[in-house]
Amino acid sequence: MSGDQREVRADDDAALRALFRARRERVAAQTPSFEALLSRPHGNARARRGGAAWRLAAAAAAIAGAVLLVRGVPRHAPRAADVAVALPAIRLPSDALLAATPLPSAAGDWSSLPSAVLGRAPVDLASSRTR
Amino acid sequence: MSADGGQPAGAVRDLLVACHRDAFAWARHCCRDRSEAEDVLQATYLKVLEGRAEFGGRAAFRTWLFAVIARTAAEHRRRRFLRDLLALRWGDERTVRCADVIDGADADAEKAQAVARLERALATLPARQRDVLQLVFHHELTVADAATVMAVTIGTARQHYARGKARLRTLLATGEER
Repeated sequence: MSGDQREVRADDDAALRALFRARRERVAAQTPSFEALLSRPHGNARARRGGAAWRLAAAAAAIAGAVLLVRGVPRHAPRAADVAVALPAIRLPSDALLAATPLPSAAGDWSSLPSAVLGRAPVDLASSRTR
Repeated sequence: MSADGGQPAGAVRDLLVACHRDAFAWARHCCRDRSEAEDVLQATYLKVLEGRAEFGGRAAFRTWLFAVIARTAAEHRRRRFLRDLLALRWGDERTVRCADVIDGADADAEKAQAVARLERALATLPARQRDVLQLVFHHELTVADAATVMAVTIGTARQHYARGKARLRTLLATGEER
């Protein structure tokens, strides 16, 4: 940068304004006319290519969505019978308790239970009263 | 056809013609290149002439028009970003902006060099600071009007203006803009 160019450096608002004024003149010289701008084809070729790209991307997304919908979703809900067959296979953690401590009830022997007395022949209360 | 429901289309058109040079400069500032600026300005004019953007009279016509241009340019930027994303195209906006300016530095040597230096210095500033300096110095708007165009509070605009101006002075004085 030469010394005279240093002179145009902005030390105050006036210098800055002078610089911007020069810039404004330069930009103004490049301004297209109002009529020419308004009558040019809407959007340039790049924008039109962009529009085509958008349409292409939207179509691709629609196709991908349709494929996912057809292949990704099960055609029918699981039948009740399938679920019922699957249930006995389930083992709960508490199943181990039943296996380790064989309860009489589990073995089918009810005689050792305190309530087994209820199963005996009833006492003859009438004869014991007359005695 | 009217822009604000009451003003005839011819009057609106006359207002647009009167502001055209300034409007183009502002569009040029808001856009990456000349072609995009022309697209943005054309879209803005069509919005106004077709009544899709209505002038409410709350600000000066030029201030309002600048705000419409800024919004339209932002829409274009968003579209361009998505378009580039889809096409896997990545570019440095600032580099393009500088390159465009340097290419445009024509024969008018000294003045052109000074303007090119200013352009380079402006390009290094944050967008908000660049915007407010452009509006105040190039378009000679008040800071309050600049705040309206930028859709920020006047306090924010003042802050960007002060910081931007100080930074621009430093850059121009030290030649750091290169």
